[in-house]
Amino acid sequence: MNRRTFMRSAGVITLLGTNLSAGYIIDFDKNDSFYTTLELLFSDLLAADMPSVKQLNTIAYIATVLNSKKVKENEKDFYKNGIKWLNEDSKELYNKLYSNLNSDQRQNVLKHINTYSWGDSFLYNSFIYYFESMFSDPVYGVNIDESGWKYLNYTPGYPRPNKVGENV
Amino acid sequence: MYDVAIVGSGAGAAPIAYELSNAGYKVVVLEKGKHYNTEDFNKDELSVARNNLFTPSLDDEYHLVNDIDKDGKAYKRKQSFWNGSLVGGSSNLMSGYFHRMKPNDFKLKSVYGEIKGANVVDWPISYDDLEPYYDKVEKVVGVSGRVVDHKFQEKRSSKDFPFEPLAEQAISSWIDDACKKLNFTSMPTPRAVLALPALQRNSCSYSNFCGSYACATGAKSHAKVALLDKALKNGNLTIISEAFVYKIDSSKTDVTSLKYIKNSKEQEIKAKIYVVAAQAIESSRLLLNSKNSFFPYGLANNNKQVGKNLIFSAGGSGEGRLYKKDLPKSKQDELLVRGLFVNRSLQDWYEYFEYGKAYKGGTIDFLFEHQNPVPRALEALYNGNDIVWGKELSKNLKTSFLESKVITFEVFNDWLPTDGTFVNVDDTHKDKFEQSVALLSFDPHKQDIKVGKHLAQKAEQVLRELGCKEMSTGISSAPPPNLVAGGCRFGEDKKTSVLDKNCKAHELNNLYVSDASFMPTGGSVPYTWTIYANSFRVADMIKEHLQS
Repeated sequence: MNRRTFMRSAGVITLLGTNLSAGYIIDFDKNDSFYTTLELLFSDLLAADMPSVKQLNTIAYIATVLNSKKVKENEKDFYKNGIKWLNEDSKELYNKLYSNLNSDQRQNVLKHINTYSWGDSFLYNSFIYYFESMFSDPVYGVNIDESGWKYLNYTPGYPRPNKVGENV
Repeated sequence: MYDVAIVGSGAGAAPIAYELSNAGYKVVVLEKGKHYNTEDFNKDELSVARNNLFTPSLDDEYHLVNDIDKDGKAYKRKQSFWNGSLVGGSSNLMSGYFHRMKPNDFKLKSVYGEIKGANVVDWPISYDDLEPYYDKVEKVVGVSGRVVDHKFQEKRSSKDFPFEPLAEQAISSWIDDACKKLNFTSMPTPRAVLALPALQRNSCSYSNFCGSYACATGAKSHAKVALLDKALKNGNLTIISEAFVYKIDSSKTDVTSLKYIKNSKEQEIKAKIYVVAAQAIESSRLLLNSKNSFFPYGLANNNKQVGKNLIFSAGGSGEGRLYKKDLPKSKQDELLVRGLFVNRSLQDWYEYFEYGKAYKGGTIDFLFEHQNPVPRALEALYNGNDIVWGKELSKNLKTSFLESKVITFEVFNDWLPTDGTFVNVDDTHKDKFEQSVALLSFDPHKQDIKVGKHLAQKAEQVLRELGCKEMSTGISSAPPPNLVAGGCRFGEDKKTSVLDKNCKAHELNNLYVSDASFMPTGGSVPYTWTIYANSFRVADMIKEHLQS
């Protein structure tokens, strides 16, 4: 599926934003360009005072979700395609991959993809992962040192989980 | 052989299991979900809410809804109407807003007359018949609250609630003040939650996560902790969990056995009396899937009434954001105090007049928005329709979590029963048990929206008086999956009802249906208290039946 066929298949959009979370942290290839681009993307999306993806272990969380058997393949494919399409847009605008652009150019690309329905969904899903890694219990290997909770002075519900949920 | 076999373990099932087993009868409960204990429960958003711990995967088990696409073409879409598959049923996950139905709710047709396009009927029993059982639920299951006199206060056999109200957030008294200015009568919302230890259960821990989460202290009056756990001690109750009942066998006059699947094996149970309480949609589905030579259209369905007149709670909800900066200094810190309950309701317009015509109105409950942080953060992601990031997002998140609070209201009014709202089964779609799935059709009556909007306008006045901003209201005809009833309505006439007034099937000697399916109209309140009360009433009928 390319981004244009995605835009035509409006039905797919309704699948997104739900049931995308899953799993506890797995090992993954941190040098894979998909994950390095993702890390750069989040650095462009987050304000300086927000917890970084390192503090929340967001990239590892996303890697876990994208390798989970409990998450639907079309949902995983869409998210993986999001980075592909982000690079396509970067090339269209600046003839370079996203990771080779300067900060202003990357912001322009983000503004550009946000005008497309796929881009809106891709950014929304990126933030679902980010917020899940921000607010979930550290027992999942995310929200390290409760840095996500500390950022918004958030108090979790008690009792907290003492292990990963049987369905996650 | 058991005396009583019950399908389901929620509010419609547990009172029968409790009463009959306490009376010395051998009772078996078959529950599709798992058997958790209180110490198993926690407030893990990722597991419980984001990944739906207590409901089946839509790939394995689903409901179908008849719908029309944008080109006017009919199609069937998958939707989940599951509410809670675990021992104790969805009562585990309720918020426990407990209101009784009013006397006029039992005679809607007589009091308000026929409504064109709606199948409104009077109930075959009156409020007075059910009142002792409402009272029993207060005392045995546990309802906390404080009675405030108002013009639609129903008659009570006990002066006040047996358990004192939960601790309240400061906003509760602000709502009272706002209502006073508007000449509205606010009242504490009765809750099926215990403020102090009682009934051999712990008190509420004010964890901030009640609705949608199972209770980790036992304070919430769900069917397992309030009734089943106690009944298990009498030695007469057996609970078989993870047991999916897929068929009820019968002769021409009597149910003969239940067929169920546990651990991938088909098994059978026999009893003298059979009770179905699998929640409204699933109870109708089970009867419709239990066709045999005597009942070719489904069990107890020779008059083709099973699944008809499905109802929901009509109405909707609205909200407004209250900012710290807009409050006097003395109130600013109080706004963000977490864990305490809002617990305020209005019933001033349970009946109202417009152009000289009396309308059945409903109930308004006030609460804080659900405290699940991920949806709250996702809301902060948008400015209008656009996703924002960077400094703008950070500012939105801080405003949402640190500088303001969203006050929500819920409107409950009658979903008028219509010919077009019903449940059937679709033989071309099977679930993981190879059983036909439920196929739902909706045709809400236009009066539902009209009444809902009337009530919402009153609630909006309260939010405005409180000083809320960014207000929005959504009154719609969308059926709320957690507020469903009907499908096997009770009545005197077997041509227009499935059950008699004791909730026994007209067409079978030993089959009862005791969840919300029996309700021909739903009142303008959440159903759970009425389901509990009626199940205690049916328990008495079954005792008489077994004694005779």
